[in-house]
Amino acid sequence: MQIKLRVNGKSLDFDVEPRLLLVELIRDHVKLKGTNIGCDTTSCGACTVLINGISAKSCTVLAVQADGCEITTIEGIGTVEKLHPMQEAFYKHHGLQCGFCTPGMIMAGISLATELENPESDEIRLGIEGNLCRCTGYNNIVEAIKTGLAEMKQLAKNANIESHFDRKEIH
Amino acid sequence: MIPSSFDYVVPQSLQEAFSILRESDGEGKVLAGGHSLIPLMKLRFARPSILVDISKIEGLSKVEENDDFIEIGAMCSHALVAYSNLVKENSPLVAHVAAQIGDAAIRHRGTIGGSICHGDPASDIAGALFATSAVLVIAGPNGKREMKVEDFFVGFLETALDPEEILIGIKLPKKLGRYSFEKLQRRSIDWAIVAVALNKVEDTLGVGLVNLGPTPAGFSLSLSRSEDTAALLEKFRDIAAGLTPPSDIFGSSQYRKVMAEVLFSRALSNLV
Amino acid sequence: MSLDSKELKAGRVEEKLVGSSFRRLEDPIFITKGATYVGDLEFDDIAHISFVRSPVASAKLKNVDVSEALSQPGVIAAFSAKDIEIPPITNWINKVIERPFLASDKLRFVGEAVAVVVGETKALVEDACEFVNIEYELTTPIIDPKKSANNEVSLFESCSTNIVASIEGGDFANSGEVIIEAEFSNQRLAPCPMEARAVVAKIDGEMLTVYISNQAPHSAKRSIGRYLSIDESNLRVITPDVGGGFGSKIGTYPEEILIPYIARKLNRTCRWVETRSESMVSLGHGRGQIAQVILGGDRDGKIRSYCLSVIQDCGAYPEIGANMPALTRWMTSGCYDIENVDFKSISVLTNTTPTVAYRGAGRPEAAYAIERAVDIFAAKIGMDKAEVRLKNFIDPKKFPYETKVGSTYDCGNYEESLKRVLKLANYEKLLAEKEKRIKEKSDFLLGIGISSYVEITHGFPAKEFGSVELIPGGKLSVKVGTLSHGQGHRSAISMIVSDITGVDPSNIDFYQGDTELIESGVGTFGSRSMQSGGVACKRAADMLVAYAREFVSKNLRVDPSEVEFSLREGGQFSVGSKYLGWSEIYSLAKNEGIELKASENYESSSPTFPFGAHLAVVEVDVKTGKVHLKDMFAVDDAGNILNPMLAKGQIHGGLAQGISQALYEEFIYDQDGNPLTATFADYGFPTAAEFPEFHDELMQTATPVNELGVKGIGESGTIGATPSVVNAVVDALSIYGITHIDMPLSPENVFNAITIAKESD
Repeated sequence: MQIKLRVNGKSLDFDVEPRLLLVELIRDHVKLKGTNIGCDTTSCGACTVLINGISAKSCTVLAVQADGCEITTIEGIGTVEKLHPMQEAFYKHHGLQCGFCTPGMIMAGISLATELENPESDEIRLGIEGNLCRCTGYNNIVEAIKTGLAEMKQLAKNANIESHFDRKEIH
Repeated sequence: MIPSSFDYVVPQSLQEAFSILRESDGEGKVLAGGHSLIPLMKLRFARPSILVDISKIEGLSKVEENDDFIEIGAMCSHALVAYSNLVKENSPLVAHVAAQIGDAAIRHRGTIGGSICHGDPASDIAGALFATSAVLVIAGPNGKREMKVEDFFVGFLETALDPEEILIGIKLPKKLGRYSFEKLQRRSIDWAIVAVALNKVEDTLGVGLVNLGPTPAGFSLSLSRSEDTAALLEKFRDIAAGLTPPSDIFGSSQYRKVMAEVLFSRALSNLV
Repeated sequence: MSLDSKELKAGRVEEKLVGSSFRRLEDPIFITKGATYVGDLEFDDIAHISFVRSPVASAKLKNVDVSEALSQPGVIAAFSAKDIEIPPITNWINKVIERPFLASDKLRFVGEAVAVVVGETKALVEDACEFVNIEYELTTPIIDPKKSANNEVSLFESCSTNIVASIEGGDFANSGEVIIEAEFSNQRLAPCPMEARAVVAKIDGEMLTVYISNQAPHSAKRSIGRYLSIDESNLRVITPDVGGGFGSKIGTYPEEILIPYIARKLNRTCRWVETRSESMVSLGHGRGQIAQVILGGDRDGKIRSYCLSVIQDCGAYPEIGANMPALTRWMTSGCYDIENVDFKSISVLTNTTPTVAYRGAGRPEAAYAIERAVDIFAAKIGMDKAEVRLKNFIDPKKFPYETKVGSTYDCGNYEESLKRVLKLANYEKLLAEKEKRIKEKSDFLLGIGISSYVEITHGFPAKEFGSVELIPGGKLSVKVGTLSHGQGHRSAISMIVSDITGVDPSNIDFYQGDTELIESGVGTFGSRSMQSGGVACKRAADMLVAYAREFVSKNLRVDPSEVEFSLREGGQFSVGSKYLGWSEIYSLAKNEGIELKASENYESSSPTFPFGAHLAVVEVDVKTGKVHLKDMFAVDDAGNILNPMLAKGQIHGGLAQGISQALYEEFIYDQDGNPLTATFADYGFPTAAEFPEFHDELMQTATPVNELGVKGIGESGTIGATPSVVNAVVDALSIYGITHIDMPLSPENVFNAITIAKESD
């Protein structure tokens, strides 16, 4: 099947089998290896990407379902020279160890900006319950996401951009 | 883990979807958000020959308001149900429960219709629909029909839908009262070991039961003014005695029965 | 204070990096592109491999037919046991028992590899696997280790007993006015590194390169070389980034030797990336120990005697797990000065996934047994649990202290760590809150659990390699034989080397996990890395500075004692007003054909013994049995701390795994040996929502064992946390007369314990 989607702002066309999962499209066809596969049961969130700006587990989305969508992966949000505030927060708070859950965790953290305005730690913990980490005990991840979200909000405010906090928009 | 091969179509209308389903001769499967179906396909527990993706059919992804009820389109994501002002204002229990399904990413893609059609007795949202006396709107080649939620679940992972039919919406009565939802889990992402949803409107108490039998279940109790909590508990106990909850690694059948009472009692005192 | 390399680029600050929360050098890539795991590597014309695994726990294997699979589209080859021309694996623990690479005559556990399919794409290989036909005849499985010890049915015809290893007890008699006896189970766990196993075998003529997700690449090289009879010079093993291991990736598994075997046979690069479903049943499991304890003591709180007997479940083949009791034995008597101590164990086979090392590896079992027993003893004599501990701790003046089982603890101060954690948690206030809830007849009882632990790290001291070399531009190349798989060794070791040489960490190239680049190596496990590889690199850096000084003195024709070295300006040597930086020294040396390079094979004289005290506060819902961990306090001492941020990260992860064993995790088999927790949907892998924020403090009692004064920090959290949480739950429920509940403390397990206690009341 022919599909057309945008990945990290780049428009791409593919001819894929219907059974191809979005995560495989990203990894094997677009060759972006940051997004990982950690389980078979939609439990771990290592494959979390943004579809049209909100988090999704790309192991449970067929590539054909993403036809026409805007996909954002870890590679699309910042660079070593110019980190996204959420990346910077993970760096600062030691929010990662082996790194396997990290790309998905960061994307899940960014997505929380659309759902939680000034989250308490407990809300963040529930907000990332679908992203498993075996190394960190989550302590620093929660700290990092709290910092990252506050920073994102501040940046949006500084840039005079309406916060994209709008729960009704979520589909 | 990759599903076995299948064909994939994206009909633009219900009529088109019906005819594809007819041609598939029972081997076709409707794809909504895919968050019940795709995991089963990856493990190759499900092998549909054709997936009928209904996401592009007009009108299935919105919440609408009528005089006596609101109607949630079957393709509405759990997140949309949870955040929709219409749902929050008119059926707050359903919004409250939708916000607790799976995890954030799952709620973004998983749909209320897909969840119900999967027919899992552990479905939280099905419990909420029992408690709120929801009516399901089903479309088929011969037109629409409506069905009370209690008639929809006919067996374990089995519904009253004909192979060519599609669940298109869920009607919730616009009757405000008090509600509560008590859920006992191991981890926060696990299915409920047991959950009880209550919706009290005037002198009727709607009760939804999660994971307490082969199908989602529930019932209504009429509350006479004099009835006290002890009498209600007694009534619940009688009904609970007839339940046949599953036994699995999360809890034995016997434990689930006892917990049903505990959670019912807590839900009663936690009505908001 | 926190430093990061950006700040450092402006010129070296005066402070030493060691001891600071220096940000990780690993992170910038990990958070922007992701790390590079074996599954991420790109190769031309790669073939994909999948395994077909045993669906049953115990059966006579009659036939494996791969012919139909072979005829499926995209299939290149398929193998069953009869196609594998290498002899089976003989085990170091029991030489009689052989483990075939693919099951040959018997199926011994669900998940055992039976056949291999190789094909052009992952999807086609998965399709073809469904066409492998396995014919078998079911036999009676043995799942319960106690039953296995009866030897009514042997798992192996070649071996008349299922007991594959044992440790005899010594002369022992109970002593003390009060004797308590109890049995505790340390349930079976799945290690669950987020990256499952993965192997690529690449063929270049005679040369075989194996990329593997493993904690010990040099030993993987030895295993692969031995079984495939490959000359050392034709074999290279590379571990790119590794997504966690927790002990489960120390050994080299049969699958990991088969992939290069098949690649050679087909003369084609092959890759296997394990799925989670297969990893849950075929990556080694952890724990699986039953402990019987007898503790004797006087009514004044003095513990007189302690005997620990252990049954270790090895699973279907004796792997490292069979040897876990030896590690448990080392730590039998924990933090306590007990005159009369004994240990004995047997390790038995069952029709389950083989057990291996898992974070803590034998020591959590020991700490759990004694910390539970001490609590039961305290309750029995009616003494506060902290007080009993304080009465029995080894006196800090007695170190080095040799225990009755022969371990020599290097140093410690158990009393101080306990007192600090009690203060941190506000123990008195918690006790009052607990009483208040009892009085109010609350449905949510409070429990306070204490554990004092001591553990052994670098338990098997062995030579570890470290080298530091001056390279163009005055940069350094550091190589080490340990293998970071999440711990952040690049950062920690760069900090050590930078403090000695003055070279900015951003100018230090760090290498690990490549048998071609690193002469030798042992790997990372048992919390050994900083006290082995870290010290080796420290010594190499010291030597490099000495060599450079000597070079400068020769070059400038002065006595070495006249050459001064300072850390300023990225490290500079000076003689009078003449200054030479590393870059200039490199150029001068190169002109003379001199390489400035130092390497060290450092062998520590003995293990080290980190310790600490944990305090858990739980709320138990007595109506449902659900336990909520309200608070977790930890004071941990692993000697000198190189980087508190990284050390705390290790503690946090350890705490989570320890708490999770207490409350959530258990790998469950039904009576036929079918796994019931073989996915992340079923297995109790905890989420962020299961934990409170951790309150932790680091104590630093420098060890005299090595010149960095460091002990291992990787496993402490796990070891202390589990007993503290279980002790807390039992503490909450002590009003019902409950003295023990086996883990995991799931809602139903706790509820049943309450129900039984109430009935017998």
